[in-house]
Amino acid sequence: MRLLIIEDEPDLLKILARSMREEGFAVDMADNGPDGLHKAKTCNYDTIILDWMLPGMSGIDLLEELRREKKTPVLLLTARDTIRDRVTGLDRGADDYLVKPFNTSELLARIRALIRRTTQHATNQIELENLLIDLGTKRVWVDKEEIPMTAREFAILELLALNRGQLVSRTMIYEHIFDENDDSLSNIVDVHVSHIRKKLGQDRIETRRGLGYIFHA
Amino acid sequence: MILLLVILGFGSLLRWQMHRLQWEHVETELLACARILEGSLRGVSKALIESLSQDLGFPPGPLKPPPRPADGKRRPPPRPPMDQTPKLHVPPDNSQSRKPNETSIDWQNIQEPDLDAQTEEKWESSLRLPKSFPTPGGRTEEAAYFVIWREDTTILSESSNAPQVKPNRIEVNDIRFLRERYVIQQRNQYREVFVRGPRDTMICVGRDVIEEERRAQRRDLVLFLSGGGVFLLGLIGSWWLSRSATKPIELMATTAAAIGPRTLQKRMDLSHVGTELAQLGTVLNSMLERLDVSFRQQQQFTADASHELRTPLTVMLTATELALSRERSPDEYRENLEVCQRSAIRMRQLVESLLFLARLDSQPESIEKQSCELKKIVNETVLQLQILAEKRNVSLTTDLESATILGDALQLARLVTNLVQNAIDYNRPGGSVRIELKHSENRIELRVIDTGIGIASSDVPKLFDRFYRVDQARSRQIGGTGLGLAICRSIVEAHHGTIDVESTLGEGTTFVVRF
Repeated sequence: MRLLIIEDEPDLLKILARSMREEGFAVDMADNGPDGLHKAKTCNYDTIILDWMLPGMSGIDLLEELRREKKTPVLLLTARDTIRDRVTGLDRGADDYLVKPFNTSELLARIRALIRRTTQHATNQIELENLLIDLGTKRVWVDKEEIPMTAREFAILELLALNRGQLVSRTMIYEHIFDENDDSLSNIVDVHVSHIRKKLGQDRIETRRGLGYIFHA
Repeated sequence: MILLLVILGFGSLLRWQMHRLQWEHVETELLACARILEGSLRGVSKALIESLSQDLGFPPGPLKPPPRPADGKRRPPPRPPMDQTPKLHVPPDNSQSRKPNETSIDWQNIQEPDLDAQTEEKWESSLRLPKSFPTPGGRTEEAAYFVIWREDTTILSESSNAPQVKPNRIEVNDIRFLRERYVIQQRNQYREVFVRGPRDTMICVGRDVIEEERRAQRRDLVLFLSGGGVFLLGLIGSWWLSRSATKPIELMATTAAAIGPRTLQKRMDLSHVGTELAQLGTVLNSMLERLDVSFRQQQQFTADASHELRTPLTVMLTATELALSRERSPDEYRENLEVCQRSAIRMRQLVESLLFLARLDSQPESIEKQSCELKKIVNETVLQLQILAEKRNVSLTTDLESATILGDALQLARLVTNLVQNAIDYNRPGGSVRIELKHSENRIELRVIDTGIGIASSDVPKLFDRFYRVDQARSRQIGGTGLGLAICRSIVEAHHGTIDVESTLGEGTTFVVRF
């Protein structure tokens, strides 16, 4: 899953990005409004973490501008804590609102909830016959036996499982799994998918040549 | 209560005055009658008076003296109706205006020693009273009665309609009687006047005044009822008046009571209020406006301060959470600690600035005032900031005259530092900052002139507001708290000076402080 963090405080931006990456997210960063809006418009992020007070363009204006084109889930992360601020933020297009200072685990839970809502899942667990995937703890079981997975493998499996039955293109996988600074080779997705197939069984993921992958439920 | 007292007082006065007039009228009539009788008696000799008593017995009746009762007491004759008064009594046109000497007494017969029955009748016929008294209402009252005593208090004569209750004879010898020449007394329903007559006689003229008493009672009732009515009307009127006067005040009080910290934007409705109250209301409304503005500024300041404090706090919490979430390499720990330190330093700056402002706000007059050489302060500041200026490739020049002011040296140094540091921070590489200190029109003028990015005219009015930043990104990069110029203004105001800014976007800014 790929996130965009728009925050003008450089230390906070850096620390947040690091935290999210450690949780398996691909993270893009922007430290001002116009840059953030540009990135939000050009890339399909799973969630955007947005500060309210930004140089160049306020977070609220950015949100309004973005909502004309995209429905990307947006979490407003701000020090403005009055009820009026929260109402304004949510009414003007934010999907969630979190006040600084925050707890990182709460922020992560909210991001997961936003992603679940977008992919129309009620819980963090995806259960498909003998396969169980826990999106919260990022663990996978086959026949109740836990299968070890790398963060990148889990991210691809998570994306495929959330969009099961649908064709997921390589571009889409690139967009959601790798951030702007990632310069992995273009066949890296195939390598990771091949590893996943070995761990879960060959039939789960079907390859459509030249198009992408389909995860069968 | 006051209204009640006024009505009672006025009513009592009116009642007393009316009673006085009424009784004065009656008494004047009675006295006039007494004088008529006195005049009639004046021409009668003492001998005749004494002989009359011998011949006529006691008391002499006007026509047919009634038989005396067995116990010796005289039964009074029944009160005859008006038309049954003695026939020999022919009333004149207006008996009140009659003078005593005009009474028609047959003086020749009286002077004659021949005291036959005809003489007695003639004499008695001269002792008469007017038949009726005209009253103010035009009605005629029953005629008065009279009784005449001799010196030995035996009755010389009395009218046929004299009542059963006899006048108190002792009273006629009362000292007042002698002094005032007449005495008035009320006996049951009779009003009587006692007069000392000629030849040591006593004359009493009385009249039944029950009708007057009834009238007085009716008048009292009317007075009482109209007084009550006036009191009731007064009560209703004063209630209405006080209500119409106090209603706007009540409304204003209700509005004022409903105004709290969250409803300071409420104002009093002055559309239905009188001029004087509207003036008061306008003053109160303008006071509320000032309070509202001040309160909103305070709220904004608190919100801004909490926002500014939260940002470094969030960084510290997130960095420590990240560092502690798993085992880290020493370099990772170091990096996180450095982030925490930067945030802590920023928080310290912010807290110090806030405390400084809070102190100036709470006690603006409490600054230490001593003679400060401003030139020396500026020179020291320039020396301290020289390194920063060189780092930013900005040249610092000064043109300073000696100037001494009364003030707090530390605060003045902070003022100069803030202004010069801003001039360096918001300058372009290769730019310059010039500091001038001059005397101008009895004032000391400090100018800090830079060749920096300048300030848009739309930003100038808010420039000295707390936490106002023209360029937030640049301010963050520089590490500003957003309070520097607000502190400058507070210091200048505490020193009774002014601070102004002149700026052209892209060319530079000049801050002018005048003491």
